[in-house]
Amino acid sequence: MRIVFAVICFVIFNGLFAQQTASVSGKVFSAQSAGSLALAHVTIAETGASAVCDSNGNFRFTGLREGRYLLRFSFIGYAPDSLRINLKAGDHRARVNMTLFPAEVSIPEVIITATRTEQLRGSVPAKTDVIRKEDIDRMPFVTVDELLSLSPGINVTRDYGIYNKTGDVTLRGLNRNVHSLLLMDGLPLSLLDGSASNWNRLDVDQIERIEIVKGPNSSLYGGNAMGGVINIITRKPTERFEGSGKAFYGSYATLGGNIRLAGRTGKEDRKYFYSVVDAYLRQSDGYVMAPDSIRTINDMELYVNEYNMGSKLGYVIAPRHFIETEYRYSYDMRGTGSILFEQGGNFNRYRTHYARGRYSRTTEKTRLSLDVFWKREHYRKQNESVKSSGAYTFYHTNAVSEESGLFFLWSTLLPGNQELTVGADIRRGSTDNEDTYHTSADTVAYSGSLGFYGVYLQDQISFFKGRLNLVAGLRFDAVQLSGASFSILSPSLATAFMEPYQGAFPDTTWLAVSPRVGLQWGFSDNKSIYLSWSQGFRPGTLSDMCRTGDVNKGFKLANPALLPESMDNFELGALLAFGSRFTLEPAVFYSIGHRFQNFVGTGDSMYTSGTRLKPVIRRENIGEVHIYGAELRYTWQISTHFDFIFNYSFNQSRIMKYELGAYIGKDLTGLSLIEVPEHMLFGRLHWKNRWVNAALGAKYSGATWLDDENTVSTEPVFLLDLKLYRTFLKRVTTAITIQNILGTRYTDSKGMLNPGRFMLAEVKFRY
Amino acid sequence: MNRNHNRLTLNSYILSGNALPVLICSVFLGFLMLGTACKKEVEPAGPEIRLVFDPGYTTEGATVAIGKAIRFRVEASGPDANLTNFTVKKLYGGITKTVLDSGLNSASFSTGLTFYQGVEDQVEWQLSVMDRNRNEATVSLTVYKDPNSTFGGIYEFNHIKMGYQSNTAFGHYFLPLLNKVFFDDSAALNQDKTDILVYFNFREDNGVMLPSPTFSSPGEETSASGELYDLYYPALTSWTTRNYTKYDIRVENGLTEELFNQAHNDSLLIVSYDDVWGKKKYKWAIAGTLIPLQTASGKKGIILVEQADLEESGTITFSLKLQM
Repeated sequence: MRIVFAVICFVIFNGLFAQQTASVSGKVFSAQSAGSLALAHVTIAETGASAVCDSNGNFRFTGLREGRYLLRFSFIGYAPDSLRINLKAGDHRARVNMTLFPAEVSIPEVIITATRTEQLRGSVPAKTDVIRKEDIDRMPFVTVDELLSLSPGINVTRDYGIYNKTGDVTLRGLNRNVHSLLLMDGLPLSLLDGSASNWNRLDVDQIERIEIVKGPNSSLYGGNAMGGVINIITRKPTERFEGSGKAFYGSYATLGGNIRLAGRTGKEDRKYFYSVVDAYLRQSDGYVMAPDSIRTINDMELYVNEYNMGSKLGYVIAPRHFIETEYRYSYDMRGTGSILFEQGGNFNRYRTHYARGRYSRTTEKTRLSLDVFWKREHYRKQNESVKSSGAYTFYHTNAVSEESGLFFLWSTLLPGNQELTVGADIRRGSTDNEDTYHTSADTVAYSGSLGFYGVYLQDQISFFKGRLNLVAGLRFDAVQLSGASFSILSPSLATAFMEPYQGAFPDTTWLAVSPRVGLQWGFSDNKSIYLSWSQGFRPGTLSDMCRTGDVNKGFKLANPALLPESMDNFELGALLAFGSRFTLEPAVFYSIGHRFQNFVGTGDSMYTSGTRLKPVIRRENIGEVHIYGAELRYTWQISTHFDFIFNYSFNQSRIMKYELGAYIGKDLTGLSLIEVPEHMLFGRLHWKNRWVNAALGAKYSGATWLDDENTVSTEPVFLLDLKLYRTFLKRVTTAITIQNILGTRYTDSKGMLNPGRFMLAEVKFRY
Repeated sequence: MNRNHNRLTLNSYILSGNALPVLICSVFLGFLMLGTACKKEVEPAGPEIRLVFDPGYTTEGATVAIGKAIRFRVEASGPDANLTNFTVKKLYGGITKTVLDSGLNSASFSTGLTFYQGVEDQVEWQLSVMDRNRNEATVSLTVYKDPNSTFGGIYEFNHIKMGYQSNTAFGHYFLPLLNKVFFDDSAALNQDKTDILVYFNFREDNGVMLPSPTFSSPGEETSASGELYDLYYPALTSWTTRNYTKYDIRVENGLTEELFNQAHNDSLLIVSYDDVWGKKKYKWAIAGTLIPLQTASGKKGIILVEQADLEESGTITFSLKLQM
């Protein structure tokens, strides 16, 4: 009887037990590669059970009781994540898939731009920022320059959104984009002639990361690296074959897309070829920027029609030893918002050819690189207008700017924890500019060349096992203006007033010495402070040195004797990481600008085009400017689902000396530089979840002065942007970006409206 | 060796990466070819211009008395590209003087022009059009001064006193034909005879705002909008005839008060006014300023400013010599 009872009990309990167990299995993926993640860890919070994924990213837990469980997923270099599941008794088919994203702060960041050698960002005695691919994907922005809002102290002005002619980026309280140097893969994208860098020709999806170094960096890069250096690094293939494509449609009938095909022929440790082909297209009907109150029948939409394409081909001889070539072509045509008779109305059009080559070899102790590049930009402007006198004027500006350069760098590790870097740069640029009138016989032309010949030396020394790092650098530049001339063919009344100013200008040469010293002290692996002093300079633009003509402020005379502006910068900053969740990066700086250039009156005035009496002006080295400011960048990984970035910057840019001498004009001593907001804030909250990921960006830019006399200012601008996105089937991502979600309409310094709310829906596929 | 083992489908061949450099190099070369592709140029036809010698228009070799009208009728077209410029030049004694330089954007035009015979014995008139491709076409004819012609008579108006826009004692409009200074109501009844008006404001010169007594006319703006119409004399907006007087704005015009006082025929008036510099108003008309002008009916004249107050309720006093 006892035996029978025991058997019955065994069967009942065994049956009950068997009914209460369950299993769960699943797979872990990498968001970065879209493939599985082998060796990822999965643990069950309630039981402490853990598993390691197999080579295909698979895992499985068995013998679980019915109930709710929290599964935790983790892997080195990836942000941990978790998922709650409900298991029912007897359920052995429960399946969970998890995608892990690369960690935000746990990987030490390497930066090249700060020293032209690979350095950990925390060991560089300068204010640097790196905007990574993951950040780019999580920003509610559609142009590359807007991404720079992630770095404090950068003033990105894009009042017309995607319809802006070029995009305008200034750093650290300076107010002209020629004060900073824009690089792509380490080579200049800014034109030497001083025209604004055209951010429109860059496609967000081709960018791997953006490195930013604040403050003067002429000790390594020479001219224009005064407010800072922005280096855009493009993507290289990581797989044997990879491809992606995107299509988008949005407000104002904006449509377009891109495609990228890339691959390589071998594994990383062998010789192989790699190549990339990409193309991008964007068109938009645009909007009318003139407010209703001043709109006329001659106002039309600011349309956009642009495309670019590129091809990169490289050969890896050995790991970190490669040759690479690249060719790019871009076409960018934008309406300026008015039309009279000519088809397409007034417009700006750029056609740019760009080619470069690189040889680079890095060994354990040395690095050698040789770069060459060539760029040719055709700029065409169509301009029709009716003057106040009723006279109709129609002309084309045709400008060809050509530039080439050779850059050599060699660095080596020396005994005593030293790294010595030497280099030589040759860079030449020229412009041939012609205004061809159709409503008169005139042709106004100017041309000139600017050559930079620089050599530099940099020593980096580490003490106390790398806790103390000293960087000292010095660069000599010889800069020559040559072939400068200004001429008028067949002058009529439209240009006859400029006839006396024709002729060839004498060649001029000047030297620049740019030193830099920086000291960085690391308290621990993730906390450091730095102190630095550096000098930077920027030459006058070719337009200021060679072009005589009518500008808004008056009748401008060319000044080939214009000297470069220079700047001393003293800076103190820190990089403070608290665990893997918080980083705080404060910096304060004080800059003294010398020989700043400004327009001054010669005392004469004349009727330009025979209708308006205008003062005769010339850009001269007049002022001394003091800029002081503070920056703070704060990142917070709130949880596995939320992360937050906050930037604040304060800039005060004052003219401390204004030496007019024999020139005429108001003494601007004590006044502020125009177009510099005193306060700027940017915040971004990102929410990652199973349904729809969201990124909310908020940007505040303070009021700026519009005139040198500081009598007219803009209103502060506050904008909210939103991006919603979700990835399906691991390869298809859909996104909706809404810029200016409040639909704020404001006018710029010219009284023209921004586009208001701007939406873009996109579908992206990657293979 | 079994060659079949090496046989790959095109797809797998591409995906293996072996063909990728070849593929991408091809695209690379394609880009280069695109960049160097050339188009066959087609020679465009140039513009055409001709003079129409209808009755009343000046013909080749005509003789015209000093101060009398020279009239042209011009027809021009641009079969290949729109016409964008029309110029009229006078060539005499080795001098080339542009008397009309106008922008337009039209496939064709037909217009009548009136100029006035100067003191030159012989003038070659060149009329040219240019299209948007900057191709040109020119016609010319020669006109001679009538050897028997003499300089014409002039009206002399002395010490005319006018009030600016806020002056209630003196009128703002001058009517040479009537030798009268009128306020709004009376001038409105004589719109076709009103050639000169005055107002006062501040104008910028070389970054400095300077007080500016200003000579203008009812036709200052063809649109009848702007500060003259909106602020100073709003009644003008309802006028149906707004005469347009042009003032030669050159600072250095070679005139002196002595020359002005000695002028008893129209020779000085004719040679002083240069239509190229003829603008819709004359600013900063302070005492002592001499201003050549041409009325809507083509009469040339010279103003000598004798007194000018520097406030908007003030007055301005001037003498005027005008062709009969």
